[in-house]
Amino acid sequence: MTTTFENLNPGDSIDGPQFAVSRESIRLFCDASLDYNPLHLDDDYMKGSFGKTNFGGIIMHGMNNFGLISRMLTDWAYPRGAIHRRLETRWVKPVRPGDTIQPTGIVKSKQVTKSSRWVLIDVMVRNQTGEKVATGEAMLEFPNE
Amino acid sequence: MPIPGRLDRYIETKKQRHFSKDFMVGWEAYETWGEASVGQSGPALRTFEITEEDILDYNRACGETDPLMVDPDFARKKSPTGELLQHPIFVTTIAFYSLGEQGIGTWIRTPGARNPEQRIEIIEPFRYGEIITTTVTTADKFTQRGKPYLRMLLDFRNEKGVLKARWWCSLILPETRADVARFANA
Repeated sequence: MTTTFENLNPGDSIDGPQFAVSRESIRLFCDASLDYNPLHLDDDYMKGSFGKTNFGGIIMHGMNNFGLISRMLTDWAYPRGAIHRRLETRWVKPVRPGDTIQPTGIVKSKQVTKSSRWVLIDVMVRNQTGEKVATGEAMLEFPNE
Repeated sequence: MPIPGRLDRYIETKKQRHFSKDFMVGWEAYETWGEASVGQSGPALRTFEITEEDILDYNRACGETDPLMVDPDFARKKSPTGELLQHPIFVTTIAFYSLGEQGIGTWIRTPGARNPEQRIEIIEPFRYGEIITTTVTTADKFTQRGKPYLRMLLDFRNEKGVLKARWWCSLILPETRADVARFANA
């Protein structure tokens, strides 16, 4: 059955693609985003304590999680005529080279306003051991037909 | 900090080639939490011209495989705009390019800065050739669980003043210049 705004229900789930994080994928994101913070580049820099935290090595950009969530949402929304409008996220745990992460979403609620139709989705990213590394909420618009 | 040579092959776009990649250069002048003033607002150092290669590179780094996002020839024929569909968080690149080593928003490069959370609203897609101005506003500063947080609002407008996207970005930022120095000299 084709998913439409009408037949979407709270609890419906969306699965995103798995993403294998490597030093090269992190470096690729440095270049694409122009975020060359040594957090993501320099193991020597990251050997010591980082404020009250010791990461022990480079970590992936939090925005790379954001990218995976957005990729999942747009892949799901576009064929259904929906538009990705808002995303709010928190990074819960660092992601390191060698991790494999995967975004998922669960429909939270639907709303109809004068201007359009909206769907709120709880989103999260988990690593290969099932730990949450990012959580958040997204809003998609299903424009009035 | 030198960029490892073996990874230089990823550098593809004109902006990447000319971008100042060493975030440690000039840290002595980058903004600290203590210096940030709520309500301060202004345009970023640079504007950003939207080009196909910028969008393509970002889409690839996000792992996109849809030809509407990674195949410019396919997109010219099949996408609704005749352009590559851009990744929703492409604003990241605009922000890092536009907020520079001077002026408002140097916190984006401050050694020790971390970005734990954000909210992005996408109002309409960017189009090739648009010249995007980023306006930066210090929206809030507070301490949470003993960590100094700064909340910034970045508005992205085209050359006609049309608001394209908004990014509320939270940062944990070193509190003082001495704190920044500890990160810079780590």
